[in-house]
Amino acid sequence: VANSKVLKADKVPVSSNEPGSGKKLTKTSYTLKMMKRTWGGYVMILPFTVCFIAFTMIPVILSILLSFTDFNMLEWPSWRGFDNYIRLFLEDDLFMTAFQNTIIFAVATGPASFIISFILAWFINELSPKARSFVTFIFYAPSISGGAYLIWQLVFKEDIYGYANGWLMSLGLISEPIAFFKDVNYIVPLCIMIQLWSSLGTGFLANIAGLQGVDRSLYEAGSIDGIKNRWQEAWYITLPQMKDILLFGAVLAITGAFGFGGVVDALCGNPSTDYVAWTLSHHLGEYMGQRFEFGYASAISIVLFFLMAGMNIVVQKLLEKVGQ
Amino acid sequence: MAVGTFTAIPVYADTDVSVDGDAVTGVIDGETAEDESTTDTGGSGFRSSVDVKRFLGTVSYKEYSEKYQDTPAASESIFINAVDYDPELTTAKVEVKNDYEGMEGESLLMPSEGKTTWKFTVPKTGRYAIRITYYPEPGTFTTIERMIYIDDLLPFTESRYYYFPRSWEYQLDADGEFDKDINGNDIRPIREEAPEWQTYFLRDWLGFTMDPFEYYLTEGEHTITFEATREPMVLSTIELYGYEDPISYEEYISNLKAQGVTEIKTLDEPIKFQAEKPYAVSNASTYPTNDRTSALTEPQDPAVMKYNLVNDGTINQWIKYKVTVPEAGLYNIVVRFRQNTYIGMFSTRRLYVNGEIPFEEANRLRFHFSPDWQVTPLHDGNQNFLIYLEKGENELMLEPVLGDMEEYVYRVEQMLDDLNGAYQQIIQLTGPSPDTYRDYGFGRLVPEALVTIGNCADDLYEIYEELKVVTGDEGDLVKTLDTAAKLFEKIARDEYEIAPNLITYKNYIIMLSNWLYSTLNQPIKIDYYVVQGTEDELPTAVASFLDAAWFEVRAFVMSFFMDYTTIGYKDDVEYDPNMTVESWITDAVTGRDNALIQRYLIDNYFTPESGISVTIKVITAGIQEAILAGIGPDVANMDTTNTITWGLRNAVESLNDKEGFNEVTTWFPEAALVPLTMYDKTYGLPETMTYALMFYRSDIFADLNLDVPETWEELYEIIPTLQNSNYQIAIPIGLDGYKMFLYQNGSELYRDNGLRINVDSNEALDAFEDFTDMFTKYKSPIVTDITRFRTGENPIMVQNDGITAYNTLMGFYELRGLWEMAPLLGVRQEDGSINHTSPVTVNALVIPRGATNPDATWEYLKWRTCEDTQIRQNKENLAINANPTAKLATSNKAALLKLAWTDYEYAAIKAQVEQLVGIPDYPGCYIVTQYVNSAFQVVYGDSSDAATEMLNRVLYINKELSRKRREFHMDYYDLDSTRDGTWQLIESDRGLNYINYGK
Repeated sequence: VANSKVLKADKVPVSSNEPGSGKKLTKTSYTLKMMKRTWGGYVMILPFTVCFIAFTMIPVILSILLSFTDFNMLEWPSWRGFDNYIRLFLEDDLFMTAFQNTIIFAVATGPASFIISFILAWFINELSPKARSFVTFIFYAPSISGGAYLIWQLVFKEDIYGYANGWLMSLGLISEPIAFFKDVNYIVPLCIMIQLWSSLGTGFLANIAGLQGVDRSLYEAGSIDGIKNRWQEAWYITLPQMKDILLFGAVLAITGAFGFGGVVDALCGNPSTDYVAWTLSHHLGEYMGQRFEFGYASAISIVLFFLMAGMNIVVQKLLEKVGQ
Repeated sequence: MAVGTFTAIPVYADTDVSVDGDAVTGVIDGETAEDESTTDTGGSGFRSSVDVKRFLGTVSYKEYSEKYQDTPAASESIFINAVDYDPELTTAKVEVKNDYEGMEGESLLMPSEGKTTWKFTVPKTGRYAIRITYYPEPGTFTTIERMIYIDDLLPFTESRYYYFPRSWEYQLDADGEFDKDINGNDIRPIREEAPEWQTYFLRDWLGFTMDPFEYYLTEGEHTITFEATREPMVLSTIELYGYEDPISYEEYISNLKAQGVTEIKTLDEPIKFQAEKPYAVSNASTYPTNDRTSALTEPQDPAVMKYNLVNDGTINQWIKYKVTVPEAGLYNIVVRFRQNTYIGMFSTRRLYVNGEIPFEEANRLRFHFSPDWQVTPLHDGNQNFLIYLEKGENELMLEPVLGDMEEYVYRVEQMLDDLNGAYQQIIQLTGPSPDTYRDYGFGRLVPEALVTIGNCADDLYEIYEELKVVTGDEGDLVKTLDTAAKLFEKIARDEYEIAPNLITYKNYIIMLSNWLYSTLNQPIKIDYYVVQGTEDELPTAVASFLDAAWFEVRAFVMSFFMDYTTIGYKDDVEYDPNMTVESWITDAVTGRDNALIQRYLIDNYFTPESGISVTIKVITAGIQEAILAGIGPDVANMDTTNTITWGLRNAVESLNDKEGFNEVTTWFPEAALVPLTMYDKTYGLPETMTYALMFYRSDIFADLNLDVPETWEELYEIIPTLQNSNYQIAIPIGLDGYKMFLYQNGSELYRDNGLRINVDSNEALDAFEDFTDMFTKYKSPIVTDITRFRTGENPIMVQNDGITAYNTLMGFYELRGLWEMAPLLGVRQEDGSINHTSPVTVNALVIPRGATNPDATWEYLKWRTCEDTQIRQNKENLAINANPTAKLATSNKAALLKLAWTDYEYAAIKAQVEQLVGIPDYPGCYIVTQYVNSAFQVVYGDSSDAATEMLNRVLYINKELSRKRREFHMDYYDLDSTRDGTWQLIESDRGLNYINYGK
């Protein structure tokens, strides 16, 4: 039985591509023919495809369409052409603040988180397995427990009961408590620090996995081929071997950095004082949830989408340079 | 009592002064207090500091009883007939009733206010317990409260709070079953008040002392006075008697045996009665509940919900059962129960058989901890008890009490006073946040505080060790004591440990206080009782593995077929099928409980009258999407901003054309409708409303000799004194706080009917400066927490959500009588009156677009917000709020004022509700909150100039207001003209011009 199946499978390419069989197949009909033969595979991906189209593709297309309209969820949308985009870039002061802040947060937390998590992973990978899993846990813990960053609320509490205020006052550095999360001078640096702390985990775990997956024999071969030090080893062997994982980590870091906002909401309130930590995701949420301007919100999300996509391309290009 | 006037001041006895002498000074003081209060023009009914001090000076019952412990208990009883009151000394409008409700002879109805006094002669000096026979006059769910004076004096603090239980019964159907909904689930039964004449001995309402209170009376003439605090009651007799402990169990048995009573060896059929169907309960919030954890709990069903147990435990709240036995004799009473909440401990019940405590040990029946269901005879931890029952019907009454915990709880309670006193002494030196490196010299300045803490540590260790023996286990409740003792010991040994550990010390006091009050709940889940013979076998407690597994499998399968979001209506309610209303409840916290209450009220009061049926669904979100899709509800809860925005977009119906609308609006304060109205169209009815109230610690004010401020000016004057003692003031921050100052200053938030903001006017800027000064100049903390009022760090606080704060504070038992509620601080006007204005926010009930049956929906809406329903809902809410004095924040004015407030509370609430201001939610209002809060934070953080910061933001606010109005196709100011101040009006393209619209 097994034999006959194999034979049958072998026959397929032979019969269709055989020169001189009389029928020249076009690409489309070939594809259709192949699809018919491998229908089982298509049936298996069908549920996902349907969900993907219904819940991801159609909404994305819809929101592109909506970004040219004026839609408040209660009345039928009306067509506005490029009005939303014009307003976004020329009239909306807050959008500019949000745009700037998003870039600042993205640059400060995205690449930084990515690089730090790689370096940490690289160091920790050298530890003994037991120590390694312990340290991994320590770094990963903040990411598993979603709201763990709320602990900082206690540390930087606005009154004398906050740890930071307590320490600073007992050291005599300040005489009045500082409202860290309400004071425009502290909000941004604190949020960047906390975002870094809580976002390290996932990228770090991915990097550890990547490092574990590097074929040890390559290092041996490398040392025979004249690798001089650990830096060369990392640059010429480890990193190129990990490219896929690095890309994965980078994409995570970028989406995380551009979608930044939850930490600010939870710690500084929404909106933060004088919008100093106002990001695109805040802007988006505000227009959707508070002001019921879905057309405008869609326009914001389209901008955010292109920003992320562009950044991903840049990162991909950069990663190609690794090991060269 | 009329609002604003002062009742005769209760005079508190001082143990050191003879009764006569003190009474004289008391009266003089009383008059002084009265004079002071009449000059109080605000009329908000503050208690004078003289009064508070006298209250604070009263001794506790423990001290009182220790002082007189050598006096023998009275040997003779004194009977007083209630109708023989002294008319001259009585201020209450009492009424004599003849043969009232089955009580032969005359009895006396005492209304909910005023004093009633009796004269009597004591034949011989001694300690007298007091027993009264009363009838709880039906009224609200609120408890009946009285203060009791002897010779016009309160002999001890506890005499100020006597609570007299009512009696309730569950309404069951003809077969004695609970009513069912259309899905077959049991419906929470109606509890009808079933008042009965009761004999009740005066005792500690909190339950710290189990035995009756004993009053020390000298030979000769005396008076006894009942002063009403809440609710009317009918009194038949007062008996003063000498209290003796009941006989021991041994004596009980031998007495009965001597009379020829025998043990019942076996019964053909054990007599079983279900705990969830009592004859009567004293607490309206004792509900039957549902258990699905055991297949053996009776009755049980894998699919539908059956009420099958009763879970109670509030001290002093009894449950009564009637049981009929075939012959007189000694029976074994067996209980199937589960006590898995009070970890490592036991819960205690006191048993009354036919109104009497049969033997001493029946005061302390134990129900031990176990994660599993248990079946045990009645026991006290040492031996099992048999109970004598008469032939025919017997009444069994079980009452949660402290039992063997009494002594320990009492000791910890006394200790807490000392620990709190020591804390107050320490923070007067250090402030709430001490400098760790400073040598305060506690040993020199407050040596007695250190000694107190040390003694408390020793005591706690002792209690801990003893309790370990009593409970035979080290549960977390007991462990708490050990943890606290360790810290106190550390502090007492080394005074340098005080400063670094002060906050922990405070938290441990709160922890001990919580420990104390947690013992006042003696929870047991009881499934059923069985009366059986001494040789009969006990029923099974825990289901076998197979039974349990089979039950779980069926329950799992059935869960696919049951609808859990809809709260089904009663199966036998008649309604018109064309008249149905769908109501969605969104409150995430109390959603389901609230839905059950609505269900209960609708089934019993709305559908039978109107023929309209109401479906209730509990949802978390998605109303907007549902309305857009055309499958929205007929009634929904909504905040004001959404109500207006949706109303302007025709997604919510305007109610103005509804039948009787104008009459309905008179139910609410005018201000409560303002946020729901835009240009003469009202889009919703207010269900609850929130406004600010002030709370202050009367003990601390009395201690500092300060008058309670009524205006901000008066507050500024006392701030230095408060700050000298390291006390802080808590007031709301941001826009919420600013609005109070703004409107009291005679200004408004918007100008030109919402076309632009008014915060740049001179009055508004002044108000903003005054407001920010509270934080920059007077150093109010920007983070506030109600527990700091509890610990006394914030002895005065303004709370935005006044009613919620009140409900929370009422739950702090140790604070009872030590705080008062008052209207918001105000601004004195030229005519001498005070402007207490508070902004009001409401939660609205709206009819979304596409409601299937608008008329029926409107009927339902009217019914839901009317006075009767709101009062009933308040009663029902008590079942969720364990606190029997909690209040619903209803916006129905008449209902609000009819809730069971005390006179002081009533005065404060009434004054505040009459001075509310509603602020319309104009399109774009969200931007005001954002920018004003920012301005506040910047002023606070950088100490920059308040007016400048506010003015910097005005343009942005106006810009957004204009933009949003344009989006709504309303008239708006041209953006450029807002910059140069020419204010050019652009007319609406849909004719929606509101600039000249009358208010």
